[in-house]
Amino acid sequence: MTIQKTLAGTSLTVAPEGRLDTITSPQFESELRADMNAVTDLVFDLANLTYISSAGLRVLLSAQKAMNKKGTMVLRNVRPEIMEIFEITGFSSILTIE
Amino acid sequence: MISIRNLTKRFDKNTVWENINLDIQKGETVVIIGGSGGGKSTLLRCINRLVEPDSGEIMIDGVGILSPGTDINAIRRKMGMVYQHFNLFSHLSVLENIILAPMKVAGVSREDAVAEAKQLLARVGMAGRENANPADLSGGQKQRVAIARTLAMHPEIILFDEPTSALDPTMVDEVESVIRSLSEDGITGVIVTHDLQFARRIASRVVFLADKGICEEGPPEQLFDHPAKLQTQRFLYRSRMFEQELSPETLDLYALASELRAFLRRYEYEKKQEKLLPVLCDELLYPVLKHPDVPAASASLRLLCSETSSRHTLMIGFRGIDSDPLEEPYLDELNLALLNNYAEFVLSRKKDDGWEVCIQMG
Repeated sequence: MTIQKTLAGTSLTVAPEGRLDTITSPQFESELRADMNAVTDLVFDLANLTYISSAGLRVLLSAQKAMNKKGTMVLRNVRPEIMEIFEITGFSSILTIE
Repeated sequence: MISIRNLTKRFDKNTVWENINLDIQKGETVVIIGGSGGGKSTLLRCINRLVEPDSGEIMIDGVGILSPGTDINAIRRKMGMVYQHFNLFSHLSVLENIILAPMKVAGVSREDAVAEAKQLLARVGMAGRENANPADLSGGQKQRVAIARTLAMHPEIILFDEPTSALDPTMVDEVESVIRSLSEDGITGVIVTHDLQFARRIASRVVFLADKGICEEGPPEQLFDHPAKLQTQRFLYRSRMFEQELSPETLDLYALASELRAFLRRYEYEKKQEKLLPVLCDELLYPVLKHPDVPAASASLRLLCSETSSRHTLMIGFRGIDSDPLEEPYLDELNLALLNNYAEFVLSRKKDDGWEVCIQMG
């Protein structure tokens, strides 16, 4: 997968492309961790995310927990197939989806 | 119409099959099935002498086609052949592909050949596409043009070599209905295929090649639903089953999911079942086989597809684990929520050498 990151001040937009699964989630997590320290507004642009597994969900959950302490986190442009997974797993009520 | 007697074919010292006897009547659609390398296509190609058998006899309308004095070109004019990869001339339009042989070989005038080509295109559902380039057509459309091209020579017999193998499953139907219409017009069809669903639907008679000969033959309902020979039963069972041994060291989730998907697509399936396959990999196979502390030593995975419904079953035997793979430390609520959502049900049971998980795919 490829991950586009845009940092503007303390606002970070992360746009993963492709599949966030068992294989790709560790890379996604370490990319995220590298930039998270000073961030107060975290935006995930999921327009090009086509699949997410529990491993990907866990990365989003730990990001949400980190952001709860210091700012906001939102998910944008969520595709229907990803939304379906958020709903099955109850993540749609934990995450802020715009 | 076609009478095959004691036909034997060897490649070097390997006998492909021997003493084959088969009679095909006018208007029949005979489908030849069997394992890879069992000589299905070789038998088909012997019928128009693209391959020379070693011994035996093939009679077409009472004329022995293997005899030295036979006018093989006259015999071949009675027969058309349709190939897996269509074999259309890519630099010619659809129309030019169809009129080429009637004009060059049968001496038909261009005007007559064009008029008939248009009729044939209408017959295969391709009316108005005469000026299209083969490259602009879908696989199903190309195969229908290839059939129209064969029909332009007015064959009494058409030999089909894996006519649906290169097609997307959604395109098999359109080619199938064209082939069916041919038998309604009294054209004799001999079809080699590995697609048993297609064979069941299209055949008036099925011939199963195994053990260097015809193992069993009969109407599709009899051969597929009540096979008499153990060999046939085994072949049919295995053909519905995808099997793979998995180990933590060599686990390739992407390759596995794509092989499972390709196998499932040969059967009737639902979108949800296709979605289950990557979920199976991510939420069950990986957590159990790649557990950091107590991974399974290995696993055997079987996908058994139903021929008559979309109720398919996955069975995964995990070896070398002492506790239920559907519970901690292997799976948590999140894994199970995803698995259960895409499956009808998921069960596990203790076995002598580990645990088995059975997933009913809806």
